[in-house]
Amino acid sequence: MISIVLAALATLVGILIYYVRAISVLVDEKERIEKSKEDYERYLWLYRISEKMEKYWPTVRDATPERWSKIISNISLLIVLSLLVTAGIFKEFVGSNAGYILISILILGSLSNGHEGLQRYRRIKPYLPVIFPAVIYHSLTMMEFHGKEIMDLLTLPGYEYAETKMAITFVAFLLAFKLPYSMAKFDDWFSRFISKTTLNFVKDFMRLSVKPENEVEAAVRKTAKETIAVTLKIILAIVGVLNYLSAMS
Amino acid sequence: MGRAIALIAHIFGTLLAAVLIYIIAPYLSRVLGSEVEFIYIVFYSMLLIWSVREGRKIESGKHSLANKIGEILDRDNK
Repeated sequence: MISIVLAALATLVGILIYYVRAISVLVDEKERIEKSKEDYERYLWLYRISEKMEKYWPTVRDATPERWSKIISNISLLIVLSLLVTAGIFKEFVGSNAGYILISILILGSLSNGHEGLQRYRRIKPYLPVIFPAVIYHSLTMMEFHGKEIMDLLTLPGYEYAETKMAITFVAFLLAFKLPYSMAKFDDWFSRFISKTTLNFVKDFMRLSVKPENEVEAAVRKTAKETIAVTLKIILAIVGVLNYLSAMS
Repeated sequence: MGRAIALIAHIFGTLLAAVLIYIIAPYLSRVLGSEVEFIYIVFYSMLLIWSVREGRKIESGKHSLANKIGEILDRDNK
């Protein structure tokens, strides 16, 4: 299953490399190619895609990382909610894929709305030493264990279960002073990083299929063609490594 | 003058919130499924933190609403 997905991804990236290398030249030489009808029809579908891109180019050009990160955070929130709902409905599916679901929720949860996450942290900062341990104590109280083995696994050696609960709550109280700040900071950095890189990638990609208006745009477009081809090749190499690893395991 | 009025209002509001927590806590404990004492500890400590922070802000003259009361009183006295 994984190898099929990776092969499909690699094919898609290959098509994208073809598109990236062809489209800028085709757009530049459109007037001359149009004279020969046979050749023009050969590249007709590429020209159609470039016309679509030209239509949406102004909105993409004016997009800022802040607005884009807002959109990304809303989408990731929707995905997390749907993941939680699927985890609630299909319980046997969760049993076999719990690790993947947890990691994806963690990564998607870090895609917060950049700066706003840090502000929200500053607002609730004084109450965290109460909220953080309270949530952990409450969730430990709510747990019900049916086997003695699980209880033995969860308790610290040489202590009762209630004592372990108190110890974990105390550790949470200590962590409440240091951990949430680094989490909020990581959120801020990660969401800004993702929004900036994706926006730059999309902008470079769209720029190729639009005819430049001035000298600056032409220069940026020339650079974008090179960088995007290299980026796609690196993605292709990563897909190859993943395929190798999945075949080995 | 404005600061004193703001402090009195703040203390009154804190007491009101404490009474509200006292009324609501049993219902909350039924919803969350934990003991009433636990809810009391969490909510009263959060109220204490909020109250002390807000009170210190009013005292040091950093609270915007309290400052506004002072301005209004000064304007009326002139």
